[in-house]
Amino acid sequence: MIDLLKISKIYTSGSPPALDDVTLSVEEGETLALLGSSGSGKTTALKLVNRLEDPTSGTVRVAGRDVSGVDVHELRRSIGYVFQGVGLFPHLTVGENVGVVPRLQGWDATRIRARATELLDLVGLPADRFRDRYPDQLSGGQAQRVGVARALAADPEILLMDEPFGALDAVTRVRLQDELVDLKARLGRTIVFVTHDLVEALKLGDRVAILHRGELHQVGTGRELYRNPETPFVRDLLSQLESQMREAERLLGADAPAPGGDA
Amino acid sequence: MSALVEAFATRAPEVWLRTLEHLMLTGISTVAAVLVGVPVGVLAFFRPRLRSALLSGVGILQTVPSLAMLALLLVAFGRIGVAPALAALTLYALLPVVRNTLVGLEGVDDDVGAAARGLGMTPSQELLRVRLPLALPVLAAGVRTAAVIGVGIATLSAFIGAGGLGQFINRGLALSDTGLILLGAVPAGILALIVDGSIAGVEWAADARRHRDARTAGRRLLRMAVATAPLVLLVVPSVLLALGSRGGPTSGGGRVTICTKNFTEQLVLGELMAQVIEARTDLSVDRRFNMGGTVICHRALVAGEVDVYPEYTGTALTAILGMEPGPDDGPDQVMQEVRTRYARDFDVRWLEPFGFDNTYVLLADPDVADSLDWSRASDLADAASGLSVGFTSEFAERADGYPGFVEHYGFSFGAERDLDPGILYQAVAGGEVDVVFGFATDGRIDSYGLEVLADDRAFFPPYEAAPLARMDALEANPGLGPALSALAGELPDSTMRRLNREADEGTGNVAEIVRRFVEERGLGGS
Repeated sequence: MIDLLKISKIYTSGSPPALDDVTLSVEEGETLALLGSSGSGKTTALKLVNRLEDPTSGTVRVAGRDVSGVDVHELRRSIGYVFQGVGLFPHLTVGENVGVVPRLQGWDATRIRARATELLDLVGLPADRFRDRYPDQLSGGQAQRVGVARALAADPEILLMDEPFGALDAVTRVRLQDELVDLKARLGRTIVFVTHDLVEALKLGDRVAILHRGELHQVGTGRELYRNPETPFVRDLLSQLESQMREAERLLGADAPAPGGDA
Repeated sequence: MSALVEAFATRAPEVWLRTLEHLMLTGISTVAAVLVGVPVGVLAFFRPRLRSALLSGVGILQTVPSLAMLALLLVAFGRIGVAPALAALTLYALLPVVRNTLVGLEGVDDDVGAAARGLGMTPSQELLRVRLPLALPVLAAGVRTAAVIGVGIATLSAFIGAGGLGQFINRGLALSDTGLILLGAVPAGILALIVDGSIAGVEWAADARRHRDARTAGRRLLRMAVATAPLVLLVVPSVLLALGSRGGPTSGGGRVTICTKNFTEQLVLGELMAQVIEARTDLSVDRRFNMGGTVICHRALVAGEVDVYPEYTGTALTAILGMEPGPDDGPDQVMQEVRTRYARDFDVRWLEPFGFDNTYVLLADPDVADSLDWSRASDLADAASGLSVGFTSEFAERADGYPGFVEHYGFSFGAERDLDPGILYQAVAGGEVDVVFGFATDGRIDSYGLEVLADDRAFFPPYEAAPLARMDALEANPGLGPALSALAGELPDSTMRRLNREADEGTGNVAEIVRRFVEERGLGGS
């Protein structure tokens, strides 16, 4: 569905590349987590997909088409986009915010309204209560839900999420993560999301791509990464998880629940 | 305060008319500034490289002194009246509009801009659907600033014949009449408050986010109506009044426009010519008094916007024609010279002079003059470097003014101060300056009992006053020339000085003083 082929990205000549010869594919219907610390190039990799950034060299394909030949605004409207800052339009109501892309696409008002109702209900904000509110009347978690609804409005095949839960408090973050797990199962979209949180990557990603200083270190399921780390960086990263679990056990005593499942 | 009430009581209709003119000047220029300034602000936003150039450009416009701006535009347009005034006001209004547009567009939260781009808005969609709506409150504040500044600066438009409340202020300054000054200044201040409040009200009413309870368009319209009510209440009667006065009784014979410069004697002469014309012909007179100076009146006359104005031979020779009088030129030679040149170059005729010579004179406080034994200008040569002198700003620059005086007499004064013609005489009488250059026929020479120091080396050319009239106006209105000629020789120095003094001391307004004089001398014809 999405292919990054031999991508390099240099922002200012002379400085180290943000991405260095990265090749990466995202399959249709899968959720790929781009994991890395700041400066790893993960956000740059995401922004290449809807051309918020263009590569210095290499090719980006979406659904088989080279994106450099596609109208950039059409491309972005066909791809959902959610980011940490949310960026709801403060002068528009919640309903109008959700309807922004459909309006750009020229949908009629009735259809936009129906779609907004459907999506607000989907993200757990009953439309009859939230549609006419303004963004400054929402909590952080509610705003990010609206952000997700807005990204999904024009029914995109692909959803890009740039640290979508980064600005939320821990409790809300976990709740929204759970909701997203549920949502992606129901929607079956291709999702790429960026995070610096290993647990979040493992929880939400069907596969995880680990980036460090512009280089792609390894791509695989959590289990693959855990069992067969291919670079010292990946091994160190995953071993942090073990030491965190030990720390938690030590703090909580013997009866702390053991981590289960794939993670 | 009582002066204001009295002035208002007798002139209420004119106050409304001037207020309407004032609103029109401010309103049109503010709208024009928005139409020009918002696109410039948008351009500055999208082209960071142009930004500082555009901002300093409109910033510099703001620093040009208002009168200088009006004078420059007068030259650029080649005409007086509303057009150059609107242009000047528009240029002044640009800075707040451009700056606030830019600040408003830039002030949009980065995340909101990122979302607009990420969702696939084109730059113009981002501008129109997101940034401009969000910039609106800041932009509206800029428009408010522009409009309020506009109300203030529009008072100066009267200097170039664009009307407005400044007309009262100018006349008041020329006649040292506080009531008249207040008659312009107080309504202008009130107008500024109303304009400011109304725009603020519209902003408040239009802000949907502040009225979440009122979702219906009707409610919003109602709020808007309440907010703009003061402005509407002001405009409607003004418009009706203006329409009423247009269709009034003035539509009889032809129409002659008279302008004057902005000092007492000019107002008296203008009013005198107007009354004589009205009495002796069936022409109606459009009085465009109190223009900002010689050059403005001259241009208006040559451009055909004005038919008649009073001028002085010496001023015409030096300030307009750029010539110097010959050493032996008497009044007749100078009159002959300007008459020939004006007919040839401007199609303007010098009619018979009024009979007085309003030359420049050097004036001193009589006690000081006595004690230091001054009677002639050259008596000051030795002491001059320790003396201060005051004169009008026009005199400071004219070849027949201070620079010429210094060259001719071979001495200059230690300190020089540019003073408004209205306060020259008071300044020397009160000892704020030692001597001033005033006008020979100014009534205040007598009022303050000032000592006239003779021009013993004959520097100043004759300044015989006479009506100037356009040839085509004289031809089109055969009664005009003879009517004005009735004033020939009627105003010797002493008479002119008396009339000036009466006007300055405010014993009745100028029109009444002139009416009495016309009756007394039987100038109204048979």
